[in-house]
Amino acid sequence: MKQLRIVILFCLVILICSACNASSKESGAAKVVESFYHAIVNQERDQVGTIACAAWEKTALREIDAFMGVKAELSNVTCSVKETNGDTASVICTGKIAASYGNEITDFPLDGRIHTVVKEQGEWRLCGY
Amino acid sequence: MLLSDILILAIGLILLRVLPRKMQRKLFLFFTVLFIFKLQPAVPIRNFDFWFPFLSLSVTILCWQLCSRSKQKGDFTDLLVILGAIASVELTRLLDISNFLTKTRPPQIQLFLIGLLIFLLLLCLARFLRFRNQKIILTSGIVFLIFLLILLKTPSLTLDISRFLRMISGQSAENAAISDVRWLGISYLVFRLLAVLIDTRNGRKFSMPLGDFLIYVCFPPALSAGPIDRYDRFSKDLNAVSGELSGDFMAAFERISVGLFKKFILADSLSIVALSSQNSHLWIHPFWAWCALFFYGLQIYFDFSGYSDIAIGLGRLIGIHLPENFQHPYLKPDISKFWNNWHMTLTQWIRSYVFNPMTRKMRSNKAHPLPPWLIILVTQMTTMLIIGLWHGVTVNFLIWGAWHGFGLFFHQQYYQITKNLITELQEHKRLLYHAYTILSTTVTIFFVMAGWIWFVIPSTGDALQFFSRLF
Repeated sequence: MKQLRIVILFCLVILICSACNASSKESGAAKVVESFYHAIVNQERDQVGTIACAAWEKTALREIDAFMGVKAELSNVTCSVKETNGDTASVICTGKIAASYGNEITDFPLDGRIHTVVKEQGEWRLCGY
Repeated sequence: MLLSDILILAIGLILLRVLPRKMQRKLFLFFTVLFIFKLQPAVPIRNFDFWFPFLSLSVTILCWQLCSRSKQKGDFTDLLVILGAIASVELTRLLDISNFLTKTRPPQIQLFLIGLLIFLLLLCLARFLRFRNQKIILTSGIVFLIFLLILLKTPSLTLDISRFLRMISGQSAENAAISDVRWLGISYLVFRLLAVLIDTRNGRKFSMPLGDFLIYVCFPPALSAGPIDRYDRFSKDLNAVSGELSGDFMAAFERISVGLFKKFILADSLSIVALSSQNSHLWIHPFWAWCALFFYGLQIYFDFSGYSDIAIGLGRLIGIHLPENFQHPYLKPDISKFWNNWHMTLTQWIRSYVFNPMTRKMRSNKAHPLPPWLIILVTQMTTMLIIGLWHGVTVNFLIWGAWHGFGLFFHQQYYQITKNLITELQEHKRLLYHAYTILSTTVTIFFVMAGWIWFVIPSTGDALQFFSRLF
């Protein structure tokens, strides 16, 4: 009987957490764009599948490959949702990527980019900019 | 394993060792489950850095359910601890620490619950089936595990799996690659499970509690690169774990240090100059080609034996004495002794479950007796081909296996002819015997090194081209 109670409690915790998860979905669109830029500077190719939508995955991989072997870092990057339309959101960012090519540092400002983020299988995925 | 993983694992195991015995086992189980997720490398297919460890745990529990005669009350609690640990990993999704236990964010709660439900249904089915036609059920389990290994070791099939998994994950199948399917420790896990299924099928009573069995199969230090321990031996060590660290601690520390030195200094340095699939066409002169080959042979030895040393050392921290996997294999005077000292636990596994039963079966065929040389050829060749294919179902691994199979067969025939002469040398002409040992060790090491060509270069054409450059 005690064990059954534990199982019921376990299921309840999962369900409550599931509900909490549903209410915190709005910030996910901006977060996924930030994750993309983090993946770029950390050269984490394997993260792309989780970040990019199916149609944009190949381009996202190319973007990361362009920074492979380059020392890059994010400078004051923050993203926010500009507008949401159902399962699509536009995200804008501030800050820049500072990439070092030997002694030369090149900045890639993110200010002008409007990122398209779509909801795929219930998760926000970056689908281009 | 990363250095940080080794450090966390060492601290975790020491803390577990000094815990009161009552809570030690359950926390050890919880820790083991968490670490399977922690060690799983990143996977480009969505959420599969969560699903691969989840599948490893599910297959382990299902196999236990099919084999076990354990009727302990603790088994249900163990199951709850395992599910609790998996749920804890899943719940990191809601926190900002999702990269702490898994490389990417765990799947959505709904998907997790579906996965959990399917697993629980399969568990109920296994519980229902275990006393009905047990031999057929166990045989099906064995066939399933071998099929799984073939799927994961055959490049073209692995690519199809990647495409399929990408499709069900809502990703483009266009980007599928063989390297997508990185399922941590599956080769070792399958061999440990096969041993239990085969033994139970052969009538051996298996009554290990669920928690102990999962710790044995998924023991974090030995999960990614072995050694392949035996469950009865492991179980004895697990039951004898005491809180006293003194003797074990120093030995463990020494062993881990040796392993780290071999793996991260020797092997990683050698990898810069060793033969690889990318640089095989650069070694033109026979001398440099041999050098590159020897560097590779040493690199793979230091890499693999370094990992084994780390695993053995980490095991000792919790009081588990994992078996040795390497004992100076390159200093052995013949190919047979080389294989008795190279990846020893895999060789012993294959000997127990393939070579010995096959030899017994062939020898017991009284109606059509086979000549002993043919029995040796067939059994040794089969054994070595299986060892080759275990590394990957490709032509080059098959050639590597056959290379060693023929080597072992010819050595056996040579030994039969010369054994009296060698014994006489050993007893009466010591100096000559030493010279003979040096010569035979040299021949053996050159033979083994030449065999690595098929192991390191995946293309048969490139391997043949490199082989021709050696002479």
